Amino acid sequence: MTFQVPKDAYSGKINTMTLGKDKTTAIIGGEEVLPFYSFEGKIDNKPIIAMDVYDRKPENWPEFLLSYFDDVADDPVKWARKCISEFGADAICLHLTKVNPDIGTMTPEQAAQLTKSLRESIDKPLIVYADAPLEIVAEVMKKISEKNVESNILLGWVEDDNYKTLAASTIGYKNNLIALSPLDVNMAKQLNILLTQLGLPAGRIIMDPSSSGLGYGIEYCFSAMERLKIAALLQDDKMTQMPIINNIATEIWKVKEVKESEENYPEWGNAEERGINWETISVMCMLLSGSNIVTMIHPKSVKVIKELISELL
Amino acid sequence: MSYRKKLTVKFFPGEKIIEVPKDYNLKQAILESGLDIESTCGGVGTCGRCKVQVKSGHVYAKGNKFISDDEKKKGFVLSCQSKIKENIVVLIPEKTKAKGKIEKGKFEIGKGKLYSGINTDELAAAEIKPWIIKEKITVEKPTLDSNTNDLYRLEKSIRNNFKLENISFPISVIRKLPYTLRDNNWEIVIILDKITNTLVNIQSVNKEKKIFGFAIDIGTTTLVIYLVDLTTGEVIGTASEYNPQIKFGEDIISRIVYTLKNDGLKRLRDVLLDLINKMVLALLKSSNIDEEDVVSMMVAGNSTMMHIFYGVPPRFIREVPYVTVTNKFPGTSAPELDLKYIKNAAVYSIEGVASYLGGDISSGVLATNMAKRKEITLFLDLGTNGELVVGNCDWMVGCSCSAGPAFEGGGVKCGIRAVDGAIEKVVIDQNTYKCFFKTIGQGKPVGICGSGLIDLISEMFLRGVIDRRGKFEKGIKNPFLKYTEDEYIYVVAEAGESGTGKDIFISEVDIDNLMRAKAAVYAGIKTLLEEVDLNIKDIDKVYIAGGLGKNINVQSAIIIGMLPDINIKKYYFLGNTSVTGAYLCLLSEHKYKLAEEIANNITYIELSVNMKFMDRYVAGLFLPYTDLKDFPNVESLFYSY
Repeated sequence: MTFQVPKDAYSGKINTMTLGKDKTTAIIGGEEVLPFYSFEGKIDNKPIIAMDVYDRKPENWPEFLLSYFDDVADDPVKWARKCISEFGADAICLHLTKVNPDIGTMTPEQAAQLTKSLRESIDKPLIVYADAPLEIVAEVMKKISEKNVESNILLGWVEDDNYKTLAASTIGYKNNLIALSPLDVNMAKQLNILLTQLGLPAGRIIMDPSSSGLGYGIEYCFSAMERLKIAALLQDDKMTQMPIINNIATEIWKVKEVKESEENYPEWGNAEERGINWETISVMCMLLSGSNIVTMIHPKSVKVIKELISELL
Repeated sequence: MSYRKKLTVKFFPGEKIIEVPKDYNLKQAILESGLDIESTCGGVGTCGRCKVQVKSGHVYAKGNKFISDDEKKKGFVLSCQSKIKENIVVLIPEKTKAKGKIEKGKFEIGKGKLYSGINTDELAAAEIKPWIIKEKITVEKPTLDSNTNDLYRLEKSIRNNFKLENISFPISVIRKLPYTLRDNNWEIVIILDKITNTLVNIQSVNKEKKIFGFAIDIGTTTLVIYLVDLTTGEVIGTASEYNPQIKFGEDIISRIVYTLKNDGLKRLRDVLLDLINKMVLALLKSSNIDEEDVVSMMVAGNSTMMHIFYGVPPRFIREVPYVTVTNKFPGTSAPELDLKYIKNAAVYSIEGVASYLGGDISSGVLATNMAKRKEITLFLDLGTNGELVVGNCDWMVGCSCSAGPAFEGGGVKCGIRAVDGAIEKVVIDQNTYKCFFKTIGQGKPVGICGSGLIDLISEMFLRGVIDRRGKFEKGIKNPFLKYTEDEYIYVVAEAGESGTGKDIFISEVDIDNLMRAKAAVYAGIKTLLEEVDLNIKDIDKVYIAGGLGKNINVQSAIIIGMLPDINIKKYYFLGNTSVTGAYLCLLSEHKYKLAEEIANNITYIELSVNMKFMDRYVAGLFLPYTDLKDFPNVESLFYSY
């Protein structure tokens, strides 16, 4: 008798989500097995990498990181194009910081206009996060949704205190929504229930279970995501079958271990190498625990992760 | 206690008259007259509930924020803050009076009778075999040929009659001995503590009197006392009051924290003992019972309350690895514990299981008799701390989940205990969102009690006033949803129809507190059952005890996800089983031993370090529960609305 590799039987399936429209379309989710378990079943769509683009030149990035984007950092459109054509980004994640009154004066209308022109000038799907207080995020995203009708743009984010206002406009203008929860399976699930009860189709929701980089509680993210996937796939729990996005790049490039120079910490070695490793390992953890979209910044880490995905899947 | 009886106080309604010395506290006088008055602060003038009107005569009353100038002119005072200066006539307003808190009557558990809907054969029956006995005894007269001393003769007689050795004789008894023996021709009545072998008292045969005992439950939120005739088992009177320690913190943890302060333990103990003394005195006075005829007291309470009652630091109950100083306190005498008025009484307490599963639970399990039956019973004590025990005659496991005082009215702005005027049932009209309710005693509403709060959450959820998180639906036209000060409230009874002249409402913060409480209870039940590999369907009966009383609507409690979604016929409400158990132990040495056995047989499961409990708790912060598979009947209910 030959040895048979034991296989788990899965009863559930992750929802698929369509990002972008026409030529820019990407489909995520739809896997029927745990992450990278292609030997047990189908994984139709590979996880994708969304590269971060900011609406202004980042202030506290390490020099070596900024150097890759120096020529485009003042123009989000150019920046996004560079990420796609030179670094192979599967999608663009636009971070709107100037809508936060502490930082800038960008109005929701201006934010919506920027988003629209950016979306129209790239051939990859667009994700937008507003880095601002909850109420402002809802206002900005409503406007963006309105100006980008039926474009399957991915709007970030709602949590259980602002889900109602934004959900309605997401439904109306046929876009997709990021549901943010604080590293807790039940709370992620509760938010999905609330959103679907309002009439938002499950296929338009993606979960952001909160992310943190290596050394800053990544094991909590890992375990929350793993449990979400197990509930979705092995227990066929419909309210955990949404794909997952990890907005993790910003969490990585702000920590001391990545930003400190080699002069200050010679024993930590070359700063850039260290940063690339930090980002690569963190993102890899997220992918292994079930991420469908990861955000990244450093072109070299993007390259490593792309290789990893294509070799494993 | 003797004092100069000087001033008379006359109470209306009821025309009760009582005599007190000058400067006597008015609230204490009300209690001693057998009348009752509501109070939640333990008499320190911070709750404003014991308001009365002095119709004639002078009292000295400290000023406070609860009495308006207009009321002051009319003679209104807070009774706890008032000293009686001359003969007075006092009117106790309807809304202050809490009817039926002191009840007379026998505690009835007879065979085959129904108690709270269950056949009482299933409950532990009361048996009257106290460990303190009262018997007639004949002592041999001395003669010139047999001239041994009085005490020796008494001892010999007790030894022969009761087969007891090494009896101790308090000096107070020896003082009485020579005349009692000779005046009664060497035939006297002795009162003997069989556990400690102490002769508690002696009496003349012709002036033979009954003996009495107190059964007391010291809850985190409420104190309940029964005054019991130890020869017949009759409950002569009962009294209940809020635990005066509430002002130092509403839950166990904050009390323990308070004991860490200078004098903290002493202060907590002093207010507790002070209230017990007052309640004891009030019960004795209203029943005309002599202090010296009270021979015993049986105390039940959670571990922290017992530590404080005995003056033992409870600090390590709160600190990892959560241990008590002892779960079993020794028998002692009343004066040793600073219990006034009952100097002859021996004080015992019921053994606890663990830090967060105290003697009140051993006592409750005893009362339910579940430890003697084959059926699997789930016992829930829903007080400030939710405690659960599941098992049968062969095994029992228990745990505690910190539910908080929300269902007892704590942390809920319009929450009160189940007293007159408390809203206990609620229905909301689907079209107008108006709330219809029923109050205890049918009077005007003054607040909402636990059963009313459970009904209210359930109705708000079913009618769409709140969403599944317990947050108000602001998008609907609900005229009773108002924004006041800094939060949204849903008005249950408007100022015009309430007994307080103010809106009676529930806020989102209140709902949050209630959601946390119900989530903890359900998470506790689910986790405990899983620890013993049982499904909720395996439970034959669910007994519910504790502060929530007997009136909660099981259906509502299931809809909000506090109690498991099983056939409601399996649920039974038993009220305060802790004091019932203490009562049973007071009357029977055998039951007291049984309670000890129960305490030793329950396996304690610590939930504070249990990840699954935490997970289910978060899942429970949703109506009825995140995973609807647990609540199939509720699912069909709310999707139909």
